[in-house]
Amino acid sequence: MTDSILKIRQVSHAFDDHRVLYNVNLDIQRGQIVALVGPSGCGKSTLLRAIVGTHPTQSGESVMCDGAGSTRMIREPGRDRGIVYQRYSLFPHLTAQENVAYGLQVDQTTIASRIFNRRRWSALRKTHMEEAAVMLERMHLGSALKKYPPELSGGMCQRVALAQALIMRPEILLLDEPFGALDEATREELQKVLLTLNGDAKSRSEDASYTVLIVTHEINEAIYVSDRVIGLSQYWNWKEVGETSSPGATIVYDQPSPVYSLRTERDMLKFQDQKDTILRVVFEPSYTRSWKEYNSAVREDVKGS
Amino acid sequence: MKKTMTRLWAGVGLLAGTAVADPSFTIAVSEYPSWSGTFLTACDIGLIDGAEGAQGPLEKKWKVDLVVKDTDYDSCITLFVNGTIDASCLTDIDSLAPSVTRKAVAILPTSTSAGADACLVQPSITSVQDLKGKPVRGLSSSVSEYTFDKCLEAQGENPKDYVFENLDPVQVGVVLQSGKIDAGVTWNPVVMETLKAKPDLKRLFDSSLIEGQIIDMVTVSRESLEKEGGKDFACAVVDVYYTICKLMDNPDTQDKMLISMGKRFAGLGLQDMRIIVKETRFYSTPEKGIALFTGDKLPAVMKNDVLPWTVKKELVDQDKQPKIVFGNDPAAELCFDPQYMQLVKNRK
Amino acid sequence: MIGQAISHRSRLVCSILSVVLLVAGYALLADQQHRKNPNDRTIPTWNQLWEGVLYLTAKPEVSRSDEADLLAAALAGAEISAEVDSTREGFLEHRILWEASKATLGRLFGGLMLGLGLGVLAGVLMGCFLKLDAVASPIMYFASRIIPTAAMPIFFKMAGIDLEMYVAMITFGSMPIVTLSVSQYVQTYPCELRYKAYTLGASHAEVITTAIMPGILPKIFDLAILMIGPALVYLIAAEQIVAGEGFGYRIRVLTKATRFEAVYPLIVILTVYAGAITWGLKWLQHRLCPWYNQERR
Repeated sequence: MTDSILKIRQVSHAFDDHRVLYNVNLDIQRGQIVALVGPSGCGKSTLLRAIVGTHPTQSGESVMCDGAGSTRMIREPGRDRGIVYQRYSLFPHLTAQENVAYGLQVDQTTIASRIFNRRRWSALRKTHMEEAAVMLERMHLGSALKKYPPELSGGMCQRVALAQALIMRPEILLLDEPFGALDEATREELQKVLLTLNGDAKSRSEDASYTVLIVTHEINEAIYVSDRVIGLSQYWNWKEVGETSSPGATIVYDQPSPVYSLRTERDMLKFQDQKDTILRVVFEPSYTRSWKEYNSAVREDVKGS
Repeated sequence: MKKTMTRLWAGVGLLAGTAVADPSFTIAVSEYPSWSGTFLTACDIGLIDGAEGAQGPLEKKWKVDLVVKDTDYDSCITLFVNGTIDASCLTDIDSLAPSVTRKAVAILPTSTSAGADACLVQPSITSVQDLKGKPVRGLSSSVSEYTFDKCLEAQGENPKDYVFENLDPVQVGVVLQSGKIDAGVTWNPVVMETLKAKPDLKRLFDSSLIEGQIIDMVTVSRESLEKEGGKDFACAVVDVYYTICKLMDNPDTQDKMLISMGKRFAGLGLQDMRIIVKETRFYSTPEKGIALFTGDKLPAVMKNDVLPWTVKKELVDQDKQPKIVFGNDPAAELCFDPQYMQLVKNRK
Repeated sequence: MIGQAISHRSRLVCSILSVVLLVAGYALLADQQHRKNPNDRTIPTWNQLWEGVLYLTAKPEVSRSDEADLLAAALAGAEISAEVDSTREGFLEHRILWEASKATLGRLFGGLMLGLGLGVLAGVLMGCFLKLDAVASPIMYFASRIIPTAAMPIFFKMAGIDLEMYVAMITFGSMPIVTLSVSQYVQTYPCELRYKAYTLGASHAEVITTAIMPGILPKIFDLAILMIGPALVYLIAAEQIVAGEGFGYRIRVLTKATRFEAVYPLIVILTVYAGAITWGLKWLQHRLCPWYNQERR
């Protein structure tokens, strides 16, 4: 699949006098797992919120594309975009199973139908809960169905959150530093979960499933999990475009990354070069060469095995 | 079909009949032997209903709906002034200021204080002169302070030589018992209970020295009397009062009556109520009430004692003193009108 | 060390000890007072307090048949021929504590339900729609600063002096505070959860009813528990002034008669009622919001 699912065109944004994003352009293809990295405060979350639709940017546009060629502007949150946050990932008043079934409930029924058509609602609810249980089993959380979020570990919460988002089959799944608050071991485990799900989906040839944009500050994670790494940075040669002061962050790095599966041994040395490049181009303040340098070519030395 | 229609019309007629209600009037009553003790007891035994929309036998007799509101004394004044109620149980002293805002007619004297208000002192105080220089506590600008000032005058003393400081009447009883004050003026049942609790306290003087000055009354607003059913309302109030008084005066029903009244006056028992009704002298018959309103004594008291005192205490504005008439005068702010007592007496 | 933990047993022993000390201290005080004045009732002895409790729970001296006799005599005196209904429910049949409890608790529940209900509704709307919040907040803030007991004459005029007045007073006293608090809870509800609900397909109404409301429900219970105290203050103050029945009325009447042996038990019983309502609300919170206790732990 090579068609675009999300297009971001000339997006810029400022908070009062502080310019955050400058002329960001991005195309995400259907089925890609894209990692977005960048220094702290560069505007990753601003960009993500613009894609979610909760905080539209001041200029430019973000559009969702369907496979038939029509587009719709992103102006508010919608069913086509799933989100998993780093914190507040689950509704505290629902059990793990109810959290996962929540989306099915609100998407397939209305308040009125739940009140006035109780019989149908009961039957539907039973189906939703069964589907949620199946999803959680896939996440190896079969024993945690009836537990509330405070009773779950951080890693379990994030797995439930992933299940909650994925059961709705969004066109694109947005992950905002989902594993950021977890320890190394748990984070690796969840990275594997993501890869497993993606692998399963691909093997089942599921359409429009698991197009993912993951925002992370962990470069190892970005390279391991994704098949494309995008670097957003305020450290670029903005004088080249006639600006007299920093106009905000833009995309300075956009390259494929090796595609790993669970069968592949996770060897971080294999992509050390790419990591070094990302660190230099995206994170180093003194590196202000042309922002186009790492933006388009596919580099032979980072193809995966 | 015809039968059904007849029944239907009968039902409509019944409903219509039920819907045409007798006019409703409210009276505020506070806790006092001749107020709560009579009107609320009348509700308790079923002589009147007291709730809006329901009538007891006496209300049906006069074709009015009496709504009795049990509140504290200050609220009786406030509710009367702001027009929330038609009638209030007030003393002559406290009827003056409201009448400036809302023309009032006193239709019924219920009782007079004849010892119910008293100055109590510690054993160290043996005469009135001993009070000089010592603060005497009681509710200021009220019946308590009036009792204090007028009793001093009755004994040849000048109230300006004495100090009267404000304190709630119930608290007067409490602090007298604790010995924290030398003297206080309060009213029943606090007087009675305080003396029981601390027998060495003395009753230095009381309102029996000025009997006939503090008159407990029922005051109705003139506009309520002029409404449809207003006169019947006034007559019903008077009739309730005298009916209860008859029960009090009847040896066969007196004890039960006093116990019932005691429930509505500080929960006092029979023995205490016997004392209470001696120290609060009821105008228990129409003859007594009419004689008070048509005699010479009360007009003189109002003119020479009560009104000047309320002006001195700034309860009534010097420049806006109410016109007081004994009889009926629509132009007067406050009338003492015996006609309703007369009507009830004649109807009987 | 500050904050050092103690065992359950130690906690229990200390609590029992404090109650014992309180009881013993009071007994000593009453004994001292009665040595000074054997007739004293301002600090009743335990025996006197028991008599007070008996007074509050005793059947009245005048029975229904006595009432009927009085009514018959009254009707004869007023020259009214009417049937005496001996089955009529009179005031005098019931025990003081029962009547006072019915009156006060009825008013309290009515006022609290209305105050909380309206406050939660207004608070949720204000929290969700910030324009409404901008318009209503200054008014609510001002209203929350008005002391209901000081504004009683206004309540008399607007709501009369029956049940409506008490309910209005408690509602007015609690609603602005509840509204402002709930609005704050809604506004501080994690935005991530709101956005998530939208992305899962929830409508605006569903975000409110299935995400926000259940999320803030435990805090609403906490708020209800906090409002019991102020509501009782307003209610008892109002009952002392205008009621014909209720704890406030009884306390006023009995205080006038310096029957403190009955006043103190009334105060204790009222406190027990408040405690029972608090416990009931906590139990309900625990049942309906089991996750809340997990979070707290």
